[in-house]
Amino acid sequence: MYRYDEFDRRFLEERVAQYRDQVRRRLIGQLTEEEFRPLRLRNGLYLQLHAYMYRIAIPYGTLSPAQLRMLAYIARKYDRGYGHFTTRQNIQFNWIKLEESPDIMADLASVEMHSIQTSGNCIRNTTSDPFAGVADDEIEDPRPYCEIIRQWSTLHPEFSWLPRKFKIAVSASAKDRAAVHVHDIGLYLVRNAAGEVGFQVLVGGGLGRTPIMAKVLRDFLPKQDLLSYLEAALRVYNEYGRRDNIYKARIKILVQALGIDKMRDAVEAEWSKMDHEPLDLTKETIAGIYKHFAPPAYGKPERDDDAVINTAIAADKKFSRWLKHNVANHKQPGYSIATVSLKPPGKPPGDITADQLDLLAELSERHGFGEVRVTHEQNVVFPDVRRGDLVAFYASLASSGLGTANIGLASDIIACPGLDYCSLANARSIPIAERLGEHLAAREEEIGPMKIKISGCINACGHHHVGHIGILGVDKNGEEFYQITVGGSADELSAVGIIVGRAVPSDEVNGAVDKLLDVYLAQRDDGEDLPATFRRIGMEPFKEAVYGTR
Amino acid sequence: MAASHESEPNVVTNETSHQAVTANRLRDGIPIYFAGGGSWSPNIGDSVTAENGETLLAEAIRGPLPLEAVGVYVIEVRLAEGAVRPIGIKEQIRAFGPTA
Repeated sequence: MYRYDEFDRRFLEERVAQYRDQVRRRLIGQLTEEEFRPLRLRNGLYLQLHAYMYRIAIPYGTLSPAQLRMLAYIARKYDRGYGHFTTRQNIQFNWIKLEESPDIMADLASVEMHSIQTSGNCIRNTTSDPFAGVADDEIEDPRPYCEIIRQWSTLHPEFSWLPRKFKIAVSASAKDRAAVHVHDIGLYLVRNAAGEVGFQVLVGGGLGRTPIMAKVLRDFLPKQDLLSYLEAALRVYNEYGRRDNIYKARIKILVQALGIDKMRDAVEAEWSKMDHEPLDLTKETIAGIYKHFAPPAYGKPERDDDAVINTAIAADKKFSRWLKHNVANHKQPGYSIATVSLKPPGKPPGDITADQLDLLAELSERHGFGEVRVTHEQNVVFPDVRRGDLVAFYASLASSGLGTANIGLASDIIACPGLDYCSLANARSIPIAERLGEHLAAREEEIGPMKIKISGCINACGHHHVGHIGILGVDKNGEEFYQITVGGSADELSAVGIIVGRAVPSDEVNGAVDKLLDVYLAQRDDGEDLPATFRRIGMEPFKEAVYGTR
Repeated sequence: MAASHESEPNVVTNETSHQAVTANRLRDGIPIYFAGGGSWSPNIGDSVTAENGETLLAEAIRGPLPLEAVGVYVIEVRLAEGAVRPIGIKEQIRAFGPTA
């Protein structure tokens, strides 16, 4: 993992002192709410329905045991004993007091964490593939580039007041696990015809009220040019992005207005007149960052690893199921990637208790090299579990309510906090997810891979547009209704789902989803996921199943 | 932000329509309700109500806005068996906590 240097530490100490004084002045009335609001938001503190909400950045989703334990401490001391992992690989605490927020910031700084740029019209936390560095289909570890972007973008003076927020994702595998196409800028590490590794640069993706998939801005960008090219793209956005209408201010609207060709011309023109040298990434610079992400000292595979696993498979159906759904191949023989589900059916997706955070810290030391990754699907990945340890690892999880075997299945639902917590929401998300997850758990093996995503409003924090089945909460004369979409996808074949029909009341959501799934199961070809079936057969069978023949 | 658009059709509202004034408390963010005489309470039952909430709002923020209250606005309420009940799911969740 990247470790802070003296510059990073001093910067955070100064920031904590500055914020502590801002809070003090607000509490005694020297600052008005109008003056204070942008200051607290810049530090990740929102005012929600029941209390302040504190959003903490988890750079590209990576956490150490010390950081996990600090999050557990914060949950116990300042919150109500739990936190909520978000679809941006961050964590939110929902019950925070303003007067205690500077202490939280100081506690976070002690473990090299902060909440800066988790709000505001700036470059937010860069996200990545939770399997980064260990995936067997990876071209190169994307984390060093995420860290380079993090350092470049933190308090970047030119990009602290953009037209709107700006999100970047980096991935390096053929299988997109980072939803790259729905980011303002998406970066794929790719190999060109000459065998060199660089970036394919995408621009203008995003969800919200105008869901758009990113388009290719540049097919191949040499690594050394990463920051100068990003800077050129951000300059074009900063100059031409709309500031008169918040709903038209994201870069996706600019790309849509200009067209990708003119956007490309503008970025290339800006790039060509820039002085690249100060931003060039030399081999030495990249190597220096890479050192922080060097592979750990992997052991050799043990001869009896598979025997241990096979015995457990024969003896324990629950372990067998968990192994099937939650464990993925590792590039290193003798190791596996294990995903801990935070989606036990009937529970709020992405929530984690202080005790569970402590357990994950302990397990990451016992069954890994002291690192976990938070996923944008609101689960937690253990990147380096010895195959021979999988049985003991699962037993520890299962005894603490973390043994749910549903990764990628119908009950592995993404959901935003919704109207139970969020002041922007129109409808509740969590109770819908709880009921639907519980309802579908019995048939999810038959259904197979399935992405269901729920948002409580059109801001789409629950990524409903790119769910195989998406559910959007809407307000109809003060009553909660839910609009359902099908055919969306956030992977490398990304697509925006299409609305099936009129919104349904909350007590009809499970039935409507059942009918969509019935169509899918009846019509799918071998190996076809729901978006593929949808592309082949179209909307009509789905619509007819839910609403009948008109 | 007025919350009047959140009237809830499923609720029997044959009682006289009333309004109250709410905000969040500065130091900890919890929902608070204007209780009259310059005071605020975390209990919606302590709310003063009126048929015209704008009058209450003017009283609540008379002079400089009280430091204690952030984001003051009028909400619809109903009076049932002497209790003040918020109308609309959002204000019910604010008053009584998350449902999940």
